Amino acid sequence: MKASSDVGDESVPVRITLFLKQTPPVPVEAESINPESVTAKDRREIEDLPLWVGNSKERVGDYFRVEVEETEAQQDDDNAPLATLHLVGDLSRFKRLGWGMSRGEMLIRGSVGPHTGAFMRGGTLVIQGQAGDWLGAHMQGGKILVQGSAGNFAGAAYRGYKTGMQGGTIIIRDDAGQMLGARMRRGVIAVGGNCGDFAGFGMAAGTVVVRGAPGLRAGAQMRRGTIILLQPGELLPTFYYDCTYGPLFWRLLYNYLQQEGFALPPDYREMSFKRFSGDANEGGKGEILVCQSLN
Amino acid sequence: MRHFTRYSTLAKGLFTPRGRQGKKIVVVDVRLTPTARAADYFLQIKPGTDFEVFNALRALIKGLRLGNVDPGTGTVAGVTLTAWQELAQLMQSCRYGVVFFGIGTTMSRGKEMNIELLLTLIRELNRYTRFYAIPMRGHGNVTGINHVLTWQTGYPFAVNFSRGYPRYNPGEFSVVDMLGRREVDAAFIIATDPGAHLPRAAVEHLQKIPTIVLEPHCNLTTPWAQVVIPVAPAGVGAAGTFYRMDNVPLRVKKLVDFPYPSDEEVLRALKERIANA
Repeated sequence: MKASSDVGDESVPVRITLFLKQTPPVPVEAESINPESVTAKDRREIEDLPLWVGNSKERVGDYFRVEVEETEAQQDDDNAPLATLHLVGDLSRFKRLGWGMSRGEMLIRGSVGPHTGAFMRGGTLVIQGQAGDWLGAHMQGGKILVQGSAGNFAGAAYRGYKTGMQGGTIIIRDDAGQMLGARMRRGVIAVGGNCGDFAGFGMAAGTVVVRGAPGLRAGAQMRRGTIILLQPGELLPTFYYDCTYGPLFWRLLYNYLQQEGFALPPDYREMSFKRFSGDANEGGKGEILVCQSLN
Repeated sequence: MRHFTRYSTLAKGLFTPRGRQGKKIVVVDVRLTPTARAADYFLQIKPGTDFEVFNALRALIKGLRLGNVDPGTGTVAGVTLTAWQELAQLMQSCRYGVVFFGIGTTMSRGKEMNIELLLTLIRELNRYTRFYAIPMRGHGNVTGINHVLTWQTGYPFAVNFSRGYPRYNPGEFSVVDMLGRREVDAAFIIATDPGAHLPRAAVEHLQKIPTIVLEPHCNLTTPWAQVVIPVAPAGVGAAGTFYRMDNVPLRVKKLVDFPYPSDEEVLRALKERIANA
């Protein structure tokens, strides 16, 4: 691996690392920071990428020290070498990191602010810290892995929109806030810890898995979709008990989650669930599966 | 009391000539209040269960059973299912119903989801009868700023202009949250008293940043604000328009001459100074 300060050739795979130099005094909107926008750019071009700091436009170079390194060949599906983007520092004041990214890999060593990975269509986003609100909002594809907790509205829809997450996978190792997967339409969200109220609020399809204690009102106003609670929680009276069974799809989902890095003990694979259908106020075609026992 | 006597409970109208006798008042609250004492029915619910109440009422109005609630002895939010069934029947059978709700609903557990579900309930009640929901505003002319922001930007509050166009996201762009996260580096306060009304963390941050206040009175904000510009109070020293909480605009006149300019004159002068700077 060799350092290079002016890599401009798209054929050379590189790793670009942005080190936070100073914490901004006001929130920064940083949708320009994603793997596609830095690929095939040299250090100076990356430093000149715009950031919205409060109500003024500033440069990436004002807040980050940029390092560009050539790496081993790494190619995505369409054979175009992509820069791997690493960010280092406490970025909890930075919003919209990885906004709309469609391919490549982005690793953030630190916490991030709201809207990280929103409208993401592909690629992989790994956060080694805490994530803010609206993580992966309106996400359509790709994978987000949070090695910490996430705020409210992960995978949810922005206000005024009917449909939130429409594809992809969000894995949160620790806790998640309220409105997890609210109004989601497709995709998988898995939470290793507890989650706040209104998980799967108004969801139209997709799957939400919560390993820890769920908050109140899980599945409120859901129309379809599946919420899997691995610890029992209080359900609204508009959910009706159907049966206790061991769904076959759970084994497939279990294997998929293991493969995606969501750790579950081996005995969870053979688990049986109580099935509740609801929300009856919205037609009752959604389901909440509550862990019943380990067979 | 004025709302009670003049508008909601005791008032007589074309379709309610008998005043109070022609109306049914139901109070749903967490404690017995003077309003509850004057009501026909009082349902004392557990704190933070507004969402469960609206959810259950919606189900009962649709004729659905409640899953884990025993039809004979079951309760929802601490009140018997029978009482909720009677209320649902009353709401469906009335000629004109109004739900007045306040910060007990908007700021308790569930917050805006409570309101979303309440409005869904009202929408469904309109299949059977005429029904409205009206928020009870705590301070004067809150509805006014909602109106102006809505006709100017399309959004009623929590509007951000930092990128040159309006964006709306309560929680991200609302005052309490932005101050609590210390995301603001200057504040311009018009016709309100954050020192009296905002949470402590928000006020502490306001005290650390440059704060300019337009205010006709001494209040809990003016002692620590860096700049206080005295202005004539609207309706006394300056003409203006108030919006009543049922969205009715009321024109107010200037009664006496004041030595200070109006809010509008100060803002206009500041705008010209900034534009010509």
